Amino acid sequence: MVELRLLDFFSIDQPRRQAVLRQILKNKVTSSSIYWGLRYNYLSYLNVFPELDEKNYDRAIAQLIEENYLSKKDNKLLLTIKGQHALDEFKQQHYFIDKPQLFNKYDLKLWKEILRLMIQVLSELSFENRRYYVVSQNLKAQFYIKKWLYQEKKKVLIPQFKEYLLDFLESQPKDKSDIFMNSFVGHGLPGYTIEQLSEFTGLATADIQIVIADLSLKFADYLNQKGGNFSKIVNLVARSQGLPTSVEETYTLLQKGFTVEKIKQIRRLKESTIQEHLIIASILSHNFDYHQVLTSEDYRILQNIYSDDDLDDWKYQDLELSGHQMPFYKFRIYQVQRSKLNNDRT
Amino acid sequence: MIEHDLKFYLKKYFGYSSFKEGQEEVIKALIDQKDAVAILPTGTGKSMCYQLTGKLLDGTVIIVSPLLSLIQDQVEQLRFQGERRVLALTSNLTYSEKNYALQNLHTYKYIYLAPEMLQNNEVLARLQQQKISLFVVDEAHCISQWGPDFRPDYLELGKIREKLGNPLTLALTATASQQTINAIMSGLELDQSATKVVRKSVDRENIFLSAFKFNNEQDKLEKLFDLLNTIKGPGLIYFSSKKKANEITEKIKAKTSLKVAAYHADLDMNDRFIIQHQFLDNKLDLICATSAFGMGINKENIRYVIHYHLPGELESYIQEIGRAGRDGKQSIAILLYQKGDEGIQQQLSLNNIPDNQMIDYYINNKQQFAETDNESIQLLNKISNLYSSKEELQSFFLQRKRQKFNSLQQMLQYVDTNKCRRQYILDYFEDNKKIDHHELCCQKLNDDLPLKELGLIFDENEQKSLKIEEFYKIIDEIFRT
Repeated sequence: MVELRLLDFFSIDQPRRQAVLRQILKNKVTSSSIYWGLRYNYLSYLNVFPELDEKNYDRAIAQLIEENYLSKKDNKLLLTIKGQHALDEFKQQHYFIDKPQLFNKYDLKLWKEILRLMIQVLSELSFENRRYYVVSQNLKAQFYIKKWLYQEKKKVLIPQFKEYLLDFLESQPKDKSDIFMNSFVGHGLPGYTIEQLSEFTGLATADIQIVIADLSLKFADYLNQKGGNFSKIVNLVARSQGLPTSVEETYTLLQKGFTVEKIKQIRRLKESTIQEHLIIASILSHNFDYHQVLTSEDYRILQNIYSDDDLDDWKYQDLELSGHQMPFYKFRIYQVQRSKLNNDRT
Repeated sequence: MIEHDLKFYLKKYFGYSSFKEGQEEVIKALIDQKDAVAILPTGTGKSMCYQLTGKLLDGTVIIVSPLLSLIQDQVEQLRFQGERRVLALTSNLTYSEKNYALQNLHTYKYIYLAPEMLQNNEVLARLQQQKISLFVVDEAHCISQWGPDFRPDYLELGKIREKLGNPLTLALTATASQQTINAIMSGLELDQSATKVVRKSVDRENIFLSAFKFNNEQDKLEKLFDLLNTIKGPGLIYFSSKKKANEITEKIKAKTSLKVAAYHADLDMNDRFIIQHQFLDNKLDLICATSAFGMGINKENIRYVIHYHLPGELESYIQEIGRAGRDGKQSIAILLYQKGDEGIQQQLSLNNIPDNQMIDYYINNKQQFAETDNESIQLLNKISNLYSSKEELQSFFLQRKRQKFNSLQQMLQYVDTNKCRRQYILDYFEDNKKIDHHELCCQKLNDDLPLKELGLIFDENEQKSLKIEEFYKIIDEIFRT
């Protein structure tokens, strides 16, 4: 089966390397994957599919090329007209992830276990029933729910949860809310599998999975914003936002005014590692101070050689060819700055 | 502890008013601190023997079981009954879950684990710190080297028992010849003179036995659909492969109005839970399962068990049809055999038995095989603890092949037999019970089934319905406020 869904990540105008998407979906953060993730507008999809099988992915892309939905040029891929039509048609009949950025905000796998358990436990509690088969065997989820229930007043929790769930689902498209709610187990309600829901609705199993994942995360965010009892448990599945820890440490030292050489000494890391950290920090943080890395002379040289029109075609060798010595990371950070400025304008 | 006390606790903890055959004898022996070997037929509540005993003794009950699905089912049963201090220490746990469990072993009343887990030094060390009230070996026939279900890890259980301080021990099995009982006793280092053996007939009187033989799969399928459109459910069909289970499930959906689902290792934990509980809640008519997964289903009122593929041995067949009629009511077991089906079993069993060439290579290169995913090599690693020379290993595996071949022949003879099927099975298991054969006992090969006389005709009014509900209705139904 051809994975048409992947076509949504490619462009008719901008050639893109297939490895970048795979790395972003799997949350493989390197300066290269993140930079091109920025250029291809993939960053909100970080960690959306951490268990993606690389071989399956490459196979799927090969099929799309074979079917002429994608064309290969200089080791990069372009969406073809045929591909665009196929994608447009596919979008009319299938679901796509609404808020991909939530996949990086919460641990979806653990949250799904906790939510399944929460709905079942609160449902059974509302009927004062202690004899039931527990839906989740995940020890962590069981432990969190047990601890959370111990601390909270059950009499308040149940009507409040019911109200929040109803309110949340009423704010979503009804067909999605129906699918979502039918996937859960409660008192007297065994629920349905993905396959069964797919049969009932006529949707592909991938669509059912997307709806459930999407709404699960949106519901986590909803509960988090409500604060109080439920945000406590949602916080247990919140992923640390911002920079990877080691990158954060390097960046903090930069912000304090240390040079790359000094940071290298303090952290006892290779210079290339520090430079890699700075590139990642420039991409992922919101208020990166480029002037801490690039001097006015650096800017003068770079502005002379490179124009914003063809950002993806900039070659680092052009710097050397023009007789200038500048480390790669500076070139890259300048690229990041120009890229973000251009995105802001558009 | 006197008799009526046991009944009182049975009612108090499990809600039952009386014991099933054999349970009380076993429990009494254990309460009196006597080791026990219990041979009780499938479906007669073997697990109650240790579950109730565990409630009455101070300390933790360790239960060794070979199948993950069985362990999962038992754990869920206990939790359902309100016992939350249950742990399944298996490969399903993540690294952090396992660590958490090992740090908190003392909080569990019942700990289930596979035999290889006991060979983990850390696990063993932690268990040695616990007060063990009872050590249970489920499916104890797996100890017998000459049995069809031999598992080398079971051979270590005697030593492990010793390391755990020789706790009170219960060995459980549904099928065991005298040779197997002897193997269990010596394997677990039990004192024969001091061990209580409780043995009940393997016969399940309420299961009608039958078989059909076909020349090709088309005929087999036609018969299957004919049966499914006639027989009263709910039912279970066993397959030798997930692929076939899936394929036939789709065909059943297309050809009948039955609500059916496939059940096997490819399903994730959530789907398995949902399907099991739809089946338990009578929302499904039928489950198509592979053997390992079928054993994890614990539904009282399964009316029929169909085998689409020939099992490798009668021991498995008896265990698997034992899923039927646990409520004591009339049920039926139907074996559908197509000429050549035995090839599947031959392939499955030979796949893991190393040939002489492999054994030779293994002996000469043992060091490099310490860590391996190859099942044949893993088996060699374990058996070489018993037999170290090439000749001994070759002889052992040759015996295994012969034994597998013989078991399959016995299975084929069961299909073809003109004899009473029930008596055939009892004779195979050296069970002394004599059957007074009658027309509602079993069927001769390919004869029509007396479904009407058995009261097993399909009732259209019992049709299930599955449909998607609106979200607000579900929320209203499941939260009583």
